[in-house]
Amino acid sequence: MRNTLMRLLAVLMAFGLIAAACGSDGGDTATDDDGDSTATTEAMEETPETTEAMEETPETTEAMAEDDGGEDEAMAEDDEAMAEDDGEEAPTSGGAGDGVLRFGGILPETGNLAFLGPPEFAGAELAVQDINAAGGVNGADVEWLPGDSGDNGDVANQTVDRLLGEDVDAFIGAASSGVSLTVIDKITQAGVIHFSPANTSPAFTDYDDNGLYFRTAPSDVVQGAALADLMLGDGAETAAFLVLNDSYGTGLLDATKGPYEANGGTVAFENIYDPKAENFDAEIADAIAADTDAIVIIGFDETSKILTGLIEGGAGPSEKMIYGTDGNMGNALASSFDDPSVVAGMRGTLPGVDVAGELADFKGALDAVDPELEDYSYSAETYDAMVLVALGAVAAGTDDATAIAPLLNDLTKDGEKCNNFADCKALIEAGTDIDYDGVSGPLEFGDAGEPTQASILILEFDETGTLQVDGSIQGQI
Amino acid sequence: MPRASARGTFTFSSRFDLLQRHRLPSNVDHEGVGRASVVQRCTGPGGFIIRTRFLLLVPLVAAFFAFATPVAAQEETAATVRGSIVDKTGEEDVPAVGVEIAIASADGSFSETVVTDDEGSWELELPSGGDYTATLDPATLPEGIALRNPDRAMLEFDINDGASRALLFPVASAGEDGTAVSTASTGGGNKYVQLLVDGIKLGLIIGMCSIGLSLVFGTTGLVNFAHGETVTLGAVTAFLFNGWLDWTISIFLAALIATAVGGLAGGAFDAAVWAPLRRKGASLISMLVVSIGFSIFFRYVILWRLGGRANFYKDYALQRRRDFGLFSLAPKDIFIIFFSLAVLIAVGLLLQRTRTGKAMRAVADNRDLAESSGIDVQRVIRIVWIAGGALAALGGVLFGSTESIGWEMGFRLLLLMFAATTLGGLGTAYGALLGSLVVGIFIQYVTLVLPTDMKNIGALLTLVLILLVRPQGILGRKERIG
Repeated sequence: MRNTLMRLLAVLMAFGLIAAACGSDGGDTATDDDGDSTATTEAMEETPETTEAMEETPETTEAMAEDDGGEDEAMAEDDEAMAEDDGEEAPTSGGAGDGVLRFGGILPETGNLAFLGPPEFAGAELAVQDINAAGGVNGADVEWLPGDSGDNGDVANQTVDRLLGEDVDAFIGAASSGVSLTVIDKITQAGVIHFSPANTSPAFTDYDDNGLYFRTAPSDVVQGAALADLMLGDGAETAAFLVLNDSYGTGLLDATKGPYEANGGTVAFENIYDPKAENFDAEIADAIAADTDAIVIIGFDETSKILTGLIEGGAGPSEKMIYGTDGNMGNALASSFDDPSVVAGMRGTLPGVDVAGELADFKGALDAVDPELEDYSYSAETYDAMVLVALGAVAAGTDDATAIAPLLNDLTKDGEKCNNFADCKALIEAGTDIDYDGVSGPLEFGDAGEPTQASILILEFDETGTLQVDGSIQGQI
Repeated sequence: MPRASARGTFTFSSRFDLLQRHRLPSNVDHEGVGRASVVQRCTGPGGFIIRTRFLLLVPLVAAFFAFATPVAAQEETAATVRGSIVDKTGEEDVPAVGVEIAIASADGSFSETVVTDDEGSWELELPSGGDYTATLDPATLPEGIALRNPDRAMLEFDINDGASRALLFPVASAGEDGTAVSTASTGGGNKYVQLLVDGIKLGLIIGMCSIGLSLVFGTTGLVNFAHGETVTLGAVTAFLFNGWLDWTISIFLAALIATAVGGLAGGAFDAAVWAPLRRKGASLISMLVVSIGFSIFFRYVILWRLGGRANFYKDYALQRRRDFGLFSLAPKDIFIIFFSLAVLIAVGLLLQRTRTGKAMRAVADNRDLAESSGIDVQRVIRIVWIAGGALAALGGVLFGSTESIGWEMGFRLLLLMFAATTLGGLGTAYGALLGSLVVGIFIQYVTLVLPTDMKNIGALLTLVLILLVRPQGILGRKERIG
C-alpha cells in the first residue's frame, strides 16, 4: 500500500516538474527546477531571437526553415533528456512537419458564445474547400479537425489536448478572449500556431506568445473608440455599463470608457458581473437606479437575460438608449424573444465587414456550407485566418508551424496584392512577395500579428428584430 | 410597443426616426448617427412604426433641413469633430444656440472657433489628425442653461487622420444661482426591500428544488449530484411544449406535464439504478460517484438536444414590473412567490400529517427501527424519489420562467441547493426551506458590500460561518458522534 502511494507520489511529482518546465515562458519562473530543465528553457528562449532574424529577411525562406528545423531538433532532444530525467514521456511537438497541414478548431459549439459558432465553422469549412480546390498545400489536402471551445477553459483545454495529439499545426479560435487566454500558453509552447478570428481583447497585443499567436479581429481599442463615438453622437451624456467579467469584457470596458469620458460623457455606473450567476436581479436593479441616458451591455449570450430584466424594469430599448457590442449584437439575440420587436432600437458595434450586405458571393458560399446560418459574424475573419496560414505553409514549404508563423505578417502587406488562395499560391510559387487582402479587409498585420486597420460596423435592431447595418467606422491602431 | 416615460428618450427616438425616414446625406446628420468620414454606408432599416411624438417634431424637421448643407468633398487626412448642445432636463428639449467652442491643436498650429446653430449642433473640419483641445465658453451659453460639469468646459482629445469624433458638453437647466440644477434620481422603491423580495423569490425556488435532495439524503444517505439535472429536465420538458415545438400549450399545462415527467424520471431512476445498488450493498461513496457520472451524462445529453444557448418560455416571457411602493415585481414573480410558498407549506403538512409522510420521517430518523416496525422502506424511498423529482422539475419550470432555460441551469443551482440543505439541516423538509431562504436572501444582500460577480462567494461564506456555530444546520438535531 505504502509502495503504491510512493509510486503515485513520484509520478505526480514528475508531472509537476514537466508542467513547471513547460509552463515557464521566459525562464524567470523556472529557477526552482533542476539544472536540466533550466537548460531547456534557455534553449527555448533562443527561438524567438531566431524568429526575429527571420522576419527581417523573408526571401531566404528555405534556408531559414532548415535552420529552424535544426533548432527544433535541439529542442526535441532537450525534451527527451528531460523526459528521461523524470521517467515520463514528453508529448511530441505538434508543430513538426509531417506533410499534411492540419487545422484544429477551438470554436464555440456550446456555451455563452455558441451563437458565434455556426458562422465561424462555416467560414472554416469554406476555407478548407477553397484551399483544397486549388490543389491544397505542398501537394497534400489540408485537414480540418473541428472542436468545441465551450465558454470556459475546461472544455477548450480538453479540445486542445485532444487535437495536439492529432498533430494539429494551427488552431483556429477561440471566439472568446477569455477562453483563448486559458489555452494560449499550451498551444504556443507546443510550437503550434494559435490563430483567433474573433479575439478582440487588448491583452493579446503584448502577450508573450513566442510569435505564434495571431488574430484577424482587431483589438478592442478600435471598437471601444467607435462605441464611445456612437454613444456621444447619439447624445448619451451619462452611461451605465454592465460588463462580463473576463478579459474581453473588462478590456472593452476600458477601451470604451477612456474615449467616452475624455470626449464629454460620464460613466455613472459600472458593474462587472459573473455570466454564470443564477440571476441578475441585483445588477439590473442597480443599473436602472443609476438613471442614465444609456445602458451598455458588454456580454455574451446572457445578454438576453439582462435585457429581459431591463425591459421588465422599464429600461428597455424603447425607453433608453441600449448599446451592445460584438459579443451580443447578433440576430440570435432577437430570436431569444418571442416578440423580437422588444429589441428594436438597440444599437451596437461589430468589428468586421458587412457580409450579409456587401459580400453577396461570400455569403452565398457560406449559405451553401450551412443553410441554417442566422448570423455572419466573424465568418470572413475565420476564412482569412485559415487561408493565411495555408499561404504561410506554401511559402515555408512545410506544415511546420514554427516555420510558418514568422512569415505570416509579411504575407498581409508590402507586395503584389492578391485576394484568394489560388492566386496567392500561384504568386508565391512563382517567387513573388505577396500582400493578401482578405475577405474581412486589407489585414495589414503589425508586428504583434494582428490587423492595424479595422472596419467597425454600426448595427441596429429594427422592428422585426433583424440587425441592420447603419454605417461603418474605419479605425487605425 | 410600450410608451416611453424616461427622460431623454424623446430626443433619441425622434432623432432616429428622422434620420431613418429622410435618408439624409451623410454629411448632414449633425448628430452623426453611424457616421464616418472615410467610408460611409447607409442602409437605413425599414419598417419603423410612426410614433405620435413625431408630429411634435415637424417644426424641428423644417429647421433641420434649413441648415442642411451640401456634401463637401473631404480630404483624405481631414478629420471632423462634431457635437450638439441640448438641454434635455426640462419638459422640452432646449437647444443651446450661439454657444462658442474654441478648438485648438496641441502644438498651436490650428485654432478656430465654431458656433452652435439653431439645433444646438456644431461641426468643424480639422486639417489633420492629432491632439486637440475643445473649450466651451460658458459665458456664451443662453440664459437658463448651464454646464452640468462646470470644471469640464475644456476637453482634450486626440483624433486619427480621416476620423470623425463626437464631443459632448452636457448641459442642464440652470437654477437661480446660475449653476445646473441637479436632477435627482426618481428611482422608485427601497433598495433593501427590493433585494429582500428578490432574495425571497430566489430562495423559494431553490427551496422547492432542494426538498428532493434533502429527503433523498435523509432516507438513503445518498448525496445525489444528478439532482440538478432533474431540475433542468423539468424546465426543458415544459419548454418543449411552450416555445421549442411549433405547437404550444399553456405554460401551466406544460408545467403539469413537466412535474409528472420529473416524478416519473425520479421513480424510474431509483428503480433502475439506486434500488439495485442498495440491494447489492454499494457503499455511499460509490453511489455518490455514480450520481456524479449520471449528472455529467444527463447534462450533456440535454446540451446535445437543446443546444448551448439560453431559452425562454413563450408565455409570460416579458412582463413589466409593477410598482408596489417599496419594491417592484413582475406579476409572474408574485405568482411564483405565492405558488411556491403554498407548495412548500403543503409538502411540510403532508410530511407531518399523512401516513406516508410520517413513514418518510421515520425512515429518515432510523431506518432499521422503521423497517422492524413494519414500514416498507423500499416503497417509502421510491415515493421520496418520485416526490423529490416532481418538486425539482416544478422548481425548474419556475426558475426557467423567471430567469431562463439552459442546459446548465440545474447544475448551477446545485451548489446553492447543497448550501441550502446543509444550512437548514440535512434531511429535514422545513430546514431545506429555511436554508434556501437564507441563501437566496444573502446572495442578494451580499451585493451591497461585495462586487456582484462575487455574490455566491459571500453567500457560501455565510454558510461556513453558520455551520461553524451550528454544525448540524439551523433546524438539524444534534447527533452524537462516535
